[in-house]
Amino acid sequence: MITDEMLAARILNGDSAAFEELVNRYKNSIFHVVYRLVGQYQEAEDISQEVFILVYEKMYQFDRKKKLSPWIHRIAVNTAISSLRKKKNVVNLSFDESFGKAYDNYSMINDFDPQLLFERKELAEVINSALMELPEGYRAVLTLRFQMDLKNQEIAEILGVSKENVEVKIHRARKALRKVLMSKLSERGGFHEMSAR
Amino acid sequence: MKCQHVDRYIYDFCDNRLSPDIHNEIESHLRECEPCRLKAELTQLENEVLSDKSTIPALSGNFTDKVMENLSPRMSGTVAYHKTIPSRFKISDLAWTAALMAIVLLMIVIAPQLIPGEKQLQVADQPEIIMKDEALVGNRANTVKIVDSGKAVPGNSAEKQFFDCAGTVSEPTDKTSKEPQQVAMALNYSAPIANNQVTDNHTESATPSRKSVSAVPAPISAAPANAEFPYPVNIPASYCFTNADRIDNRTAQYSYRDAGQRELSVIVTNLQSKSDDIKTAMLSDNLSRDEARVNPESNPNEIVFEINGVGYAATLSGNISVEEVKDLTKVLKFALDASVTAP
Repeated sequence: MITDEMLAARILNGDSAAFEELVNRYKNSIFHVVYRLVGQYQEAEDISQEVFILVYEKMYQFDRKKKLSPWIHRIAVNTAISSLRKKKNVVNLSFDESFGKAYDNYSMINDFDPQLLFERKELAEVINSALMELPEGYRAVLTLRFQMDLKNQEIAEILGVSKENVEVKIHRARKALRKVLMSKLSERGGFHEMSAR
Repeated sequence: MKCQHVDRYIYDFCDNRLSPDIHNEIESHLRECEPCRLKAELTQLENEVLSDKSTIPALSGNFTDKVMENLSPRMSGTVAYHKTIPSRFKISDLAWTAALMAIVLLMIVIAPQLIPGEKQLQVADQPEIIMKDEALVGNRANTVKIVDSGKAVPGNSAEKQFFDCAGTVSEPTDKTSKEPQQVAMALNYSAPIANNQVTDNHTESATPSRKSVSAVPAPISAAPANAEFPYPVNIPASYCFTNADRIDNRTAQYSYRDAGQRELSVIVTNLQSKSDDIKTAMLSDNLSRDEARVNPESNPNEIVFEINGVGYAATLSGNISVEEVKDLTKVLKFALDASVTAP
């Protein structure tokens, strides 16, 4: 099987079939990342197409000494985040550390109701919904970890941060998710009712 | 283990990233503490939701086609080579560079033929540079010698006929036509070719006509039949024969010009009547003429040869490279012909 790096070399020589192979090889993982970040099918597909066009146009910048996969996923994450920021017209250039710190003192031990666990399907929808309310940076790092099953080093390469920093960001993203999740459950009423008991 | 400790390790616990001891301690705690157990179950559920790829809809089947269709206008040839970093040299770049260099070289070869007059004037305006250029075989001594000989014996320079590259013969009518030719020769230029090109203005007269720089080599046999005198028979075809000038009764000059306006002059001297250095060397050292010819002490621009028992020396000069002159001296041959009329 031809390696990604060999594909890149062929693409640089104008081999359109090689690029088609590259698209087929990465389209699902790219779409998954983008979909997790934007949460809408059509928009995710449009952005995924844009990602591959960017990959083609920037292929000359790819360092063939490195792996192609992190490079492509980095383009996907950046493109999706960029698209979201344009849409929201909100600039959130990096992981918002203060956002994460706001959850550090949060404790849910006494705020939890056991009946919530019986509604797993509904709870899963709430978790997905909470995920979409996280800052893009948190969504990206959680997606790369859980959807792509990437290791810290690979996530670090995609996000352009240190390996150690990845673990910190994942932890803060989880805390943030839990905070948003509990807030949503609280809005649905069950949380307060159960807390009152 | 307290609940705060469990809360601290709960994510690592769900990810199975704890040491067995701590993992077992937390498990024991969860069996006894319902809130912590529920928290762990919620964390596990979050992990499952985050990892669940089934909730992501499938990509449309024609996604690849759409991408390729969007890219097709941009996929002409190689990938974004207009943005290519110079350090990455590609074969196509080499091809383009070679093609460009070929065009430039072609232009250099063709351009002088298209604008010969301008080139000639340009050089004529800078005679000193030409004369002092060490890289050129201006052969100042020989060039001056030509002029001096012409001035010393005005009228003796029996310049009888001129030839253009097509072999056309024309004759000068009076001495005034000779003077500009001498100026031109002093500047290593060819003499005027035809009478109608000769005027009192030396600069203008030094400028050859387009006809005179035709790329068509002049046939050597076009020389007129008259008194016999050696002439070079194998001048490279790239040179056009421009004129034959009988300096005196023992010396003749043959002039040539190539498409690049470079001049080559071959002055043939009859050694029978001249005690020049070469003949002296030949006689005093008892050398054959061939030996004298390769004698490093002799003039490298000179060829000594013998025809019918008569010795001749041919001196090459012109604004061509030293190497070219040396090459010519090795191969040039001479034959008797009625090329030049006797004075």
